Amino acid sequence: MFSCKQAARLLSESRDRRLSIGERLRLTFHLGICRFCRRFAADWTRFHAALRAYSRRLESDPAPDGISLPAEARLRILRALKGETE
Amino acid sequence: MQDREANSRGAVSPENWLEQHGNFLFSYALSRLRDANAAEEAVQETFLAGLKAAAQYSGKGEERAWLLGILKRKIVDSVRRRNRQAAIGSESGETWLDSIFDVKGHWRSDPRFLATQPSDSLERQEVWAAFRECLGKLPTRQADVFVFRELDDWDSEKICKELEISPSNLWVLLHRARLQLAKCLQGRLHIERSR
Repeated sequence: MFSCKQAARLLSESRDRRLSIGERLRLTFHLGICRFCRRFAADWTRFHAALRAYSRRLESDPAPDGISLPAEARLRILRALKGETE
Repeated sequence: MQDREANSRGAVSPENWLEQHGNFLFSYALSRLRDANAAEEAVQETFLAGLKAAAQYSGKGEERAWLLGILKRKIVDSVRRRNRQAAIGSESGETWLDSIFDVKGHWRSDPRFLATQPSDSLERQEVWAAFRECLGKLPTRQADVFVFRELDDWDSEKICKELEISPSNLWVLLHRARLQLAKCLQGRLHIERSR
């Protein structure tokens, strides 16, 4: 019997590789009869799209929380850079 | 000689770089590496490489974008280094799955992990704070491949090549990362929902 555990695995792998016809059929059939797996799949579809948007935001503004380079780190880096230029 | 060239251009100054791009590059590195020491190291390597390459830098285009390009390479190097140190199979074992699925392979509870709220709710800061926290709880290798796959949108082939792992190994890591992330997010976001 094809279980939710197996369905979750195929669902994940369907993002990373091309499933075989047999795998696709089993997964589609299971999603048709299993409400929990359907919800899990739907949440991941939503979340994947949100992750892309989050990633794009990071590209232009990676510090939404106002993270800054600690002062000591700044000094260490500056010292290393000066060592190179002098 | 490179140094002299760089100075003669008058454009490159380590102090200015740190001032203008330090926080940006550090935050970006931290979002990918989740470790302040590793992030600091990647930023330092980026500036050093930038100084060496400054002679070749055309000066066209944005300096920040150019530095970010170097940083992305340094981040991959950093991830590769730390994953080489971690022994393969150190995260093996399937017992953690027992908290998610019962003996028959059914979900132990409703696996929904996102709040059913207006569609813009996923842009809220709390969601991403929870995501960062949950990502940080994953075994390093799982979190690293997840970041390359889902934040950088690399395909399986590229990740396997860069990290020198087999495709089947990668797919297992990604599967585990996704299941555990969902479980962690469920716990974190549920608290917000019931508030």
